[in-house]
Formats: sequence, C-alpha cells, structure tokens
Amino acid sequence: MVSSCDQEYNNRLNCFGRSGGRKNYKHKFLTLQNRNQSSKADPPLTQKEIASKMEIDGLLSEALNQLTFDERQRQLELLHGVEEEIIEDAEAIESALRELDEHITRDSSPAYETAKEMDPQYVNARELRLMFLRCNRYDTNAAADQMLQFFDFKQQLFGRERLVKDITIDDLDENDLESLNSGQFRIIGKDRSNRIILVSLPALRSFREIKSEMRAHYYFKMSLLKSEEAQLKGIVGISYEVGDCKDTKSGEGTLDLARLSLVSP
Amino acid sequence: MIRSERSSRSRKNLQLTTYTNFPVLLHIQALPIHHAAMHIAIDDIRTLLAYKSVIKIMPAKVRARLRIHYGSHIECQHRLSTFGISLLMLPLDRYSKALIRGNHSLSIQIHGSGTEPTEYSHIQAAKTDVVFTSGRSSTYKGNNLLRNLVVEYSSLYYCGTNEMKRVVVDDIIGKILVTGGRFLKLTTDTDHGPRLVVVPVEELRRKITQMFRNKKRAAIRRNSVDGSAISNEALPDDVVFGKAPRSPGKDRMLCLIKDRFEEYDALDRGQKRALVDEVIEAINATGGRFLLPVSERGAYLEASKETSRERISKYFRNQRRT
Repeated sequence: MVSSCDQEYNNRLNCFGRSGGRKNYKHKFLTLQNRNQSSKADPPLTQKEIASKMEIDGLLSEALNQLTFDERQRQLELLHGVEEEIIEDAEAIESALRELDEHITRDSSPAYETAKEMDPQYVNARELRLMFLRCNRYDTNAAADQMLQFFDFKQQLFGRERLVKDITIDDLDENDLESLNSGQFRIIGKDRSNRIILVSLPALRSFREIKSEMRAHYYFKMSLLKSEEAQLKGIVGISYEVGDCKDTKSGEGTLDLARLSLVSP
Repeated sequence: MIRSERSSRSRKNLQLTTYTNFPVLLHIQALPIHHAAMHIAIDDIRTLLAYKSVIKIMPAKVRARLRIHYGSHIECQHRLSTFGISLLMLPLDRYSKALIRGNHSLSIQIHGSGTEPTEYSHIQAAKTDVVFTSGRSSTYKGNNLLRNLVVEYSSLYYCGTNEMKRVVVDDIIGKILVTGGRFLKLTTDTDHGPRLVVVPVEELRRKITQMFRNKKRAAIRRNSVDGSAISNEALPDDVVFGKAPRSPGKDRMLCLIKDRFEEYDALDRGQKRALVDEVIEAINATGGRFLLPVSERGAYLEASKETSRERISKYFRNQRRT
C-alpha cells in the first residue's frame, strides 16, 4: 500500500520529470515535508517553491564549478579567513590610482561631475579612491564603476548639498537615527583573522520610510570603512533570520528600495 | 595584486544588478565594502526563496563565498561556529534564544571609527550604563552585568592567547552595548566640575583587562595564608582582624579610620594606599601588630603588610556603608 506521503512525493517527482537521483531527491523531499509538519503555522511547500529551493542549491554549487581550481581555493580561503594578507606596493598603488583616474574620466557620470565641480579635492582624495581600489582588490575598472555608482547613490540619499561631504551623525534626521538605533545592523566582534563581523537582524528593522533605513546603513557602513583594516581585510556579513529574528516588516518598502536603486542618471 | 570579482563588467550591468529585495545586499553594489564572507542563517524555506533573485545576480566568486545555513538556532549557530563565529557573539539570549534589543549605534565606537561624541555636557547615567567611579563600588545594572560577564568569561580569558583575550574583551563590550548601556566615567578635571564622560574604547579595553587581572589576584589571595606564626598571645595594643574581642589596639585603629574616612574617600587609588600605610605606621608606632586568628584556639599569625593594607582598606570601604 502506498502512503499519502509517498503518493505526494511520486506526483512531485513526475512533475519535475526526474528519473535519476531518486533516493537523494526523496531524502530532500522528506526533509522538507518533516520541517513543514513540525511548523503548524506554515502551509506545505508548493511544487514551485521546492523547485526554487533546488534551483538555489544548484546556483551555489554551480558557482564553485565555474571557477578554476586556484580561484576556488582563493575564495574558500577568504571564506574561512585564512587568506594571505594583501601587501600594498607603493608603486602599484600609484599606477592603480592613475588607471582609476583614466577610467573615471572616460565613463564619468553627472553626479560625479557635479561633485567634481563642487569640490575637486573631495573626489580626488587619495583616501577615498583607495577605499574603492581596496574593495575591488585593485581592479581599476571595477573600482571606477563602483565609485561613479557611489556618487549617484549618495546624491539620491543625501542630496546635492551633501554630495562632497563626509556624512556624520549630525547629517541624519530623527527618522534616520531611529533606524540606526534599531540595532538591525550590529558589529558583534571580529573573527579569527581579525575581520569585523557584521550581523543583520531583519527582525529589528524600524523605519518610517525606506530612505531613512538606507541613510542609516550608509552612515553605519561608511563609519566602518574609516578603519584601514576593514578596507583591507573586508567584513564578514551574517543575515540571521531564525526563529523570532525574521523580518518583521515582511519585506515592506523593498520595492521602493529597488526603484531607488534603479534610478540612474 | 588580486583581480576583483567585479572584473570588467559594464556600468549598465552594474546598475541592473542593483535590483534586490534586500537593503543589506544593495550596499554591496555601491559602497566600497569588501565582503570577505557572507552567511545567511534561516529556518524558513520561503525566506530562502526570497533570496533567489539576489543569489542569481551575484558574480560566481561572490556566490562561492556565500553560505546558507538552514535549520534551528542550534544548527545554524553550530555551522557558524565552524567558520570561527562564536555563538556567544550573536546578540541572542543564551537560553531563550530571544533577541537582545538595544541601541547599538555606539558599537561603531568599539572599532575606533565612529563619530559619536565622547563627552556630553549634561549626561545622565541610565541604569543600564556602566559607570566607572574610580574605586567606589557602583550599583548600576550595567556594572553588575559587567562583573558577571567578567566572571563568566574568566576561564576563557585566562587560557587564551592575546588575540583571544582581545576578542573576549570586545565581546563583553558588545554585550553591554546591545543592552543599551554605555561606558561612562566620572571626571573632575574640567572647569565645569564633576561630570560623566564616555570612556574611549582603548581605555575601556584597559579597564576590562585590569578587571580580569584583579579577579585573578583576588583568587590567589583568597587561597593563600599570608602571615607568619607568633609564639605568644595577642597583646592589648595588637589589632586582631576578624571576629575577635575588641582590644585597645583595634579601637585605636577604628578611631583612626573614622577620623580619616572623609580624607580617604576623596583620594585616588595611589593616595589611598599611602593613607592606609600611615594608619599601619600609627599602630606599629605604639607597638601594635596586625594579627590573624587561625582555626587553632588562641593561635595567631602576624599579617604581612599587604594583607594588613587590604584589611584596613576594607574597613574604610565598610565605613562608607555605615
């Protein structure tokens, strides 16, 4: 006699048209079923959702397959915090800065041009440019793209008047501070290789408008970047959404966020 | 130099990839932060599915550094710990796993990069704050929490390397900050009289490491008998510590403590020590000794100078309570 669970499993298997790896698939299916049964509030997963889960697993394993052996090794070292320390060579830095300048001049953006007109010293500041170069591991093209995008992003968030100013806590309004103080983003310490661990707790999201949350995030993260160590070693990000730590806003405001991020000059 | 995962994608592509449901991931695109590793801990598959579009647009190299931990609190925390992320670090209650809420903007200060003001003209200490009052005991909840954390972490701290010790100290600071507590100290070196100021991070680290050292020393002192045996009985001018009948010597010492208490209370740590030494010398000048009763009936140990100093300081502190 075939149980109802087995029947359901067979139906779903037929829907996907899978013939191989039945045992593995059955194990995954049963795991998902058990997890659904343990949580009474959650309705069982639809076929589409199970397929999406499989797709995510596939995306992650595919990413590793796309890399060469050396690249994969490097990414794993980064992940586990055992990578070799970046040694900055003065000559290479100067050359990278020159290349960065060339790229920026070639693909400039209106926000960047505005900033340059307002305060050339700010946009040409060595510290600022080094931030982008370090973030992109001295890939000058990517750093230039990111820097131009950064000015667009900053103008959208803080307006033209603060485009060439380091944002401080005084530039945040009451709503921004509410979002900052919510504790959604927290530095919880450092890992074995002295990298800052930043945890995101969507359960604590608190904002009146999505722009406030983004301004708070901007301030928080740019404050982190004042540390040269954070620029060189990078940070470890954790999004923790287990139990009561799930997003209380249920993704509210995310569309606005997407629209804002898509606004391009 | 290492090549970036962004490689040489066109700007147009970069703008398209900024479409994301998650503010946290949006910043990967525009802010110059290098995400060395990313972890997503979830217990609901539907939440994971919402990440699909974000994962899809990630370059392969970034995706290779992303790990998804699916399961309960214990399962997720165990998997995070394999990446060197201690479960003690997470702002969750150890037993109920409830989220510890609180103002966390000051945590930026831990890493010495914040722009928070370090001095407030009219700062008022809240119950959750840790207030350092140069020697005086403080009853703030924050101080109690700090003392408890020092006790809790002491075994880990004593056996750890210097790096580990630093992590422990930072962890303790983080744990106080997430409760909304601040680290304040009383300062009198300004023209405006005594006021509370925020303790700079480096000084704070020094204070907490000192607490660990003090705890260790106190434990050593408790376990050792510091004194030399005497052959004769206690004389009237001697001061017998502990529950012993009052003697003229002890009365003299208590009288001295009472007289000089206000002076003692106003002094800093080093000067207090000098004052205690003066009391010891005053007793010694009359031929008195400082004795410690031992379990054997009628037997005494002559206390060392360090023990005498400690006991007298304790009398001064007790005087404050009365």
